[in-house]
Amino acid sequence: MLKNEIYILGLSAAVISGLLLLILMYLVIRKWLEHRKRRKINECIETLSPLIFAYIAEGETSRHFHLDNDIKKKAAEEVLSKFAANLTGEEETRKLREFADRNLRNYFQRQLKSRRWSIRMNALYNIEDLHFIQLQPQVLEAAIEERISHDERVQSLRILAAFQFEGITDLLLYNSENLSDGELRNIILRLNENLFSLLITDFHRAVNQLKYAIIDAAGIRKELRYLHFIESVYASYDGETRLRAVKALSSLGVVKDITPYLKLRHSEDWKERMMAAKLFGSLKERKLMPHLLDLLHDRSWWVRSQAGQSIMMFPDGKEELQIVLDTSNDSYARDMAWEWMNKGEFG
Amino acid sequence: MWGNILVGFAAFIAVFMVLVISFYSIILLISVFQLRKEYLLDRNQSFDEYMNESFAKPVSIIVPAYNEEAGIVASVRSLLSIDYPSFEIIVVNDGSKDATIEKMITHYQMKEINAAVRKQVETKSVKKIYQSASLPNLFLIDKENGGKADALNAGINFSHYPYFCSLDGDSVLERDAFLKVMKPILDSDGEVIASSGSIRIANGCEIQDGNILKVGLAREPLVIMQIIEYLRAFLMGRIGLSRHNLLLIVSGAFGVFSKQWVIEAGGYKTNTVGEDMELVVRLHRLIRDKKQKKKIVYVPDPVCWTEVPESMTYLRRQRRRWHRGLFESLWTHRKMTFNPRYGPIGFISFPYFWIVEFLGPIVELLGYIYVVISLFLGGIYLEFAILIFLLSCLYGSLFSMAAVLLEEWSLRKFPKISDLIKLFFYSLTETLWYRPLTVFWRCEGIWQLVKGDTSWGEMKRKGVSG
Repeated sequence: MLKNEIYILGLSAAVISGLLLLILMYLVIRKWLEHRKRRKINECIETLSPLIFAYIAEGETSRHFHLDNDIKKKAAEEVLSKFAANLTGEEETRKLREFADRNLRNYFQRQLKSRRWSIRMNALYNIEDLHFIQLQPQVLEAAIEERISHDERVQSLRILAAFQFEGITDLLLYNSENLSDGELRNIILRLNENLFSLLITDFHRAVNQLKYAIIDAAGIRKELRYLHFIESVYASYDGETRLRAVKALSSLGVVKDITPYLKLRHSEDWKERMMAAKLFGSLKERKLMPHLLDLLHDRSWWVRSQAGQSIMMFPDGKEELQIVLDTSNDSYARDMAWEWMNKGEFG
Repeated sequence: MWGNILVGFAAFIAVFMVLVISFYSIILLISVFQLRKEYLLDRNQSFDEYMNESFAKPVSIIVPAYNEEAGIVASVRSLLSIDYPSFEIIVVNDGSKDATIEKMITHYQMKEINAAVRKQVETKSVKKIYQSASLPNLFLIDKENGGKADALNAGINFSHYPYFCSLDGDSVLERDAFLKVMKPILDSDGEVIASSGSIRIANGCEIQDGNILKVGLAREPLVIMQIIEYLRAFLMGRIGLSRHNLLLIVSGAFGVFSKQWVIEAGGYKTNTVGEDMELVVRLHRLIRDKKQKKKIVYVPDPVCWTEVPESMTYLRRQRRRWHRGLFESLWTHRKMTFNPRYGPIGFISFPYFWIVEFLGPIVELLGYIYVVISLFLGGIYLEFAILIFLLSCLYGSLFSMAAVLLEEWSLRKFPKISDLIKLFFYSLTETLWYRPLTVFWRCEGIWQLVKGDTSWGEMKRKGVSG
């Protein structure tokens, strides 16, 4: 009664095994071909490297530059990426880009249109590395394409930022849903001063993630011209946005007037108290020391730890902590004082 | 009457296997699509900018060490050279009886410090804490023996950073594995609370000073079969499950967790042998109980190399232990099974782990016994036996062969063509010897459970990073 089932199952097992065997053969051949191709690319890199280098350094052209097949193009792409990472001179960089434009533009354009996600991604990475500004229209096309993967959108926005594309602020405001603040920060940090200022002007229109990224970036840039902006954010927002503003201020190390920030040390939210401790430490004003010593006795470990670190930023921080160690009744505060005093010794 | 029972029983086994095979087929398909997407992606480039990211979250790497004198120095050395902007390494000596602690102290010039430790999870008492005089981000905690989970908890208490990674003392990380496994966490603004990478087998690879020089294949058939088994488990099972946030296991050998969430979940549980799975189940539970949209993900690429047992004795102990651990987690959280409150975890993951992973070996063992008996009975029973055997071939060998091919099709970690062919043909033999062996050991694990045996079973280490 089972003859049929056994027959069908046996047959399907045989068919599947056969199929797998075929796939194995295909993969073995593919691996062999790839090994061979890799060897050829490596050989090509050997010959191309000195030629491209001579061109970039001295402007010498050679007839070998005729990159007529994909192996040569791939080799050229790898050589250029390597050079691009190490070149510093303006003239050399210009020549490298000129070379890339002349020889590889079509190659990259084709890759950007590939059906395979990984090839499109690799093309985007290379366009960024080589600063392939001639391909900006294609990158822009990718960035506003609706049915594009998340990674491609992030990468194309990053390239456009690096190219200082003028429409980038609008793209960030209206075309960057679902991007995390980390990703947005990465993009924004590439913008020049002009574009960044434009973004600040539009701050109130941004979604929360973008707001966070803008404040963070302002802090990381450490420029006094953003002080007014960050302080106004602190004054008119609350929650996470306000916290980020305090963080940015402590990164700047300046405030116009400390009074509005003093109330943070009594906040119900431990994060605000921790940020207060961070800010006080970066300001290093003598009159803030008592507040920091208070915060060293806080009920939250994070606040105590930050207070300890901030106290150590003062020139006489170690002595202050020694006093806590000798006199405080709070064993947690004493432990924390000890830890930060000794961190200095090792770290 | 007996005849009917035997036939009914065989039919039950056959139906069970068909169900399992269908489930695996679906998961295989999901994995195929996921892996193929990333084929040929130049991964090194995609992680570049995270190195300069001033907002990259610092990570505490916790290395529990119990009698690891053979490999601990090299393991730490390999960790010190990882590509990541900011991290600390905390080696927790869990009352080793050998020279683990002396080796660490002399080799890394460890000096005793008096640090403030915030006790957030209960642990056995900590004797001393050391910091390296030459490498300020290297710490050593010396504590009383309390098992791996307890050591990890002590590490969590001491750690300074918001994310921690648990790492076995005998494993070697690829240099950029950290960046890759942290990427989902960094990119997601905290939506991802745990992330884990692939584990590959180091036996047979060339390793020097904690760095993988050459990926190779071991000679021992037992190790080769484990390599295949790991490929299958990671490439097929985890990618498929992770895609829909159904992952119940984040390997204890290499995973990054949000410290806050782990502490809220109560840290690692010490009285179980499967503390890693237990933790992940509790995290899922917490996510659901708090009604938050958090994720636990698996990233197929970052690779952590670890040593596996080369002899039957140790492999058998390991498998018995794993199976007991699996049961303990499932039993502790049995309420989640088919509980609408826990969504797909309750309706897919739990039943899958109960039926396929836990009870599967019993059904399979009965299947093997049936096959042997029916050889003597002949007739219709023999036909059933052939049916069951064919199904188990599909289930064991064919899926493993597919996993080997999937690896070569997408990730391609084995450089030699001969390795690929060898793996393929070894996986062909799985149903004939390796599968029955592991099934038998897992059933032994169930038997130990029934008897109430709770031993851990010591493992012997050669030290992978000689």
